[in-house]
Amino acid sequence: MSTTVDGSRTLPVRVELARQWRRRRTQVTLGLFALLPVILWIAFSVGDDPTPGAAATSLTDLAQASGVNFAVFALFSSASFLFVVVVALFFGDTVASEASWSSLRYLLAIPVPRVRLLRQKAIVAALLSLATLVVLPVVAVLLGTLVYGAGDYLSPTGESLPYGTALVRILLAVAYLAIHLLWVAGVATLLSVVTDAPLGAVGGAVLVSILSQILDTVDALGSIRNLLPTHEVFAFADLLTLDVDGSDLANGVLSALVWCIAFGATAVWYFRRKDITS
Amino acid sequence: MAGGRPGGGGGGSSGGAAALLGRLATDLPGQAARFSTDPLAARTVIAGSPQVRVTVASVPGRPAGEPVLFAKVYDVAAGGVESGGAAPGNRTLLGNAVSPLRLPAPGPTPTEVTVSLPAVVATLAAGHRLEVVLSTTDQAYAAAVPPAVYRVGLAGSPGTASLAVPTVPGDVRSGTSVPIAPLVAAGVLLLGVLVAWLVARILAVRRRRRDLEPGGALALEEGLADTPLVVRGLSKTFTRGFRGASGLVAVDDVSFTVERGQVLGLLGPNGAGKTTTLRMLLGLIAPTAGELRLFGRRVVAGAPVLGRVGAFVEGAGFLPHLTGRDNLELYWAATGRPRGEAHLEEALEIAGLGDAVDRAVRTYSQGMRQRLAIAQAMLGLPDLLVLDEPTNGLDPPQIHAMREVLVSYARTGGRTVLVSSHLLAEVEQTCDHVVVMHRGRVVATGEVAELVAGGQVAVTVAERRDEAVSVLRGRNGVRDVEPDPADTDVVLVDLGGVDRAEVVRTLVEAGFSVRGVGPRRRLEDAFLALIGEEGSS
Repeated sequence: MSTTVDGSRTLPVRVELARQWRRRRTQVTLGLFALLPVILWIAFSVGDDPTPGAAATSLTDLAQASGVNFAVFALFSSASFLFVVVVALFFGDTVASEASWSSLRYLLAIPVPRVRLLRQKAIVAALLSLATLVVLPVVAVLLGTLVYGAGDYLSPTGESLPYGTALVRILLAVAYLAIHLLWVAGVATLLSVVTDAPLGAVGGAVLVSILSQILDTVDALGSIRNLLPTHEVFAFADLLTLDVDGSDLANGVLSALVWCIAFGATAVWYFRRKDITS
Repeated sequence: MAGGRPGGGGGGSSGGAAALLGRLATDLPGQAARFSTDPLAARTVIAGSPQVRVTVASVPGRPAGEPVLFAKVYDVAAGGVESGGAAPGNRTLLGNAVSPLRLPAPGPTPTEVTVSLPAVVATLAAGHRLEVVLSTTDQAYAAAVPPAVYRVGLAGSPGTASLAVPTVPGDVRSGTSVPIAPLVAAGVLLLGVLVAWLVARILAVRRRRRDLEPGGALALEEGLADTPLVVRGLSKTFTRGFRGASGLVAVDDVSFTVERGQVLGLLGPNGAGKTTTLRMLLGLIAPTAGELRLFGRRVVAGAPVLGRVGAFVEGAGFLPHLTGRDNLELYWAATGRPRGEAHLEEALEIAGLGDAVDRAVRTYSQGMRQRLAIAQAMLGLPDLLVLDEPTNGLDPPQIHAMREVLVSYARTGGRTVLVSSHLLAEVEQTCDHVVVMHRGRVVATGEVAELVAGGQVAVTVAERRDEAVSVLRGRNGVRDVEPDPADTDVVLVDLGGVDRAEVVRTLVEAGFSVRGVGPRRRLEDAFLALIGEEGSS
């Protein structure tokens, strides 16, 4: 005599993590991000030194100044696209990949309540995204410190931060990026429940991000651009100065939360009513 | 000493200032004199035109004229040139401007001049230096054509020279600022989400409690607690696109009951609405009208009673990167039920995959996936097993084995099996009850034994079929005899208690050659006739 299923115990995070962790996609993504600092280091070693005495210095010129500079450079180069792709990948894949494998109907027939399914999958996607987001700066700091030393962080505006302070600021910058990317998570989750094609969900979320960045370059839009989800993507740069001006950061956090809640709530609403025909 | 030589090239000067110029790209070596202040003790805001007193003199034996000089002031970051650090000192030209000035021709004795530098507003961080540069050339201006050499220095005795800078007083309350408004808004937003979630939760619990009360939507219907499945007036119309006006009617007013211990076949051609019905049974699709009750409980998305159902609907669904065994184990783990209840080994035995069970599912053939999916449906030995086209893609021995598995599954412990199929033979051989569907409607229900010929046989004779019909009609005890409209050699006989051997003997004694006697498939005929009618209309 089998029993009815207690919905609140279905699909534990540990089980969903095991299902996702063993996918090559997950391992390759994490591996690539651990490898990225090494690739950057090789590129710097092969290339010419920056022109000495150039009138303006950029982050790229300063990347070899110290381990923390190297990590900041790695963060800046990944923030606007690479991280977006990763978050879109992990969240866009949640429901759509199950639908494409036909396994979604069997999960729902267990039965895993729909909102719970979405929640558990979002938690696991968030964990994997966060792991990717953290692995890059960690490897970059370790490798950078090893090859460029534990010197002060030098900013292009001429300020410098002690190594320890810079580490804390980098940690805060990663935390800001994690919050900022919530909007991508929201869009990707919504697309994931709307379409049954994982590529459509992942690609769609990336497209939305690119579109937002393009709109952000149109000056004619004026202050409307402040509402774009990608507007404050580089606000974390404000954390890497002596005196932190938090206004952009705070606006970025608010904007990310608004978009995430809007898209996420729509996703839940839609998924609860959806006829599963995959 | 600063040398002016139009057209660039090496300056003929030497001295303290020139030695520092080598690293500067913007101020050409030998054509500029550079003076630097001590690091600023505190953060300073410049507002206005900094001024400095300098001396200009001609150099004996060198050409001189009316000197044209370009004065500018830089903000030099800490860790700059003097520190010799790894990073180049970062210089910012304040105001991005230069002050050009023309002086009367100087003699060999230094002439003191007050130089007003470009008026700027700039904030200088503590530790930065200001650097004044007087150059003889500038990209934006045409300089004097004849070559000339001048000596430029600071006025006053060494160490006392100063740069006068108009500053704006003020104190920095805090270098780090965090605006309150957006953060408060973010907090309110999060709080709002939390409250909305709590309210939704409370409402859901209340509604659930109300629904579970007798008479509520999800209440147990007492009389049906032991009936695996009751379907009542079930309909589903899919809306097409956004207009939704002309929907596709997939299931139309379907009602039937599955009793405990039955193996019930849901028979119908492709597109009859069988799969849609099964999807509604699993709560995957919401019915447009009507309801399904599993063990007396109404089916809604995620209804807990679905835990008593094991299902295989429209093909297997596995994670391709995992092995067959891992797929089943993780599937069971996802139910949150104790591992011991899974009966995993029994299920794997039914799948019969052998060593392949430890290979990734993506390497499986269609049949292997199919068997693994049926094994998955049987995990936990559910009270109601629902299988959609279970023998598709299996070879004959496997079909036979599957049939045995299904029949014995229903026989033990009062479990029930619901099988859908578009193959009549399969339903006939596997099921004891049947529901025939066509175009979304139920067209026949009943026991297979009733519907399949019990008393009717088809007799095939070599020739003279019509004579055989009249001979048999004349025989006592036979209920009904008629020629088969579909086959010119076949006589359909309703035995009505007469042994079929008697029928054969009668025909043989009358001189007919009897080629065969077999059961007459009434169900198949009914089935085909129904589909034929609909198809031709």
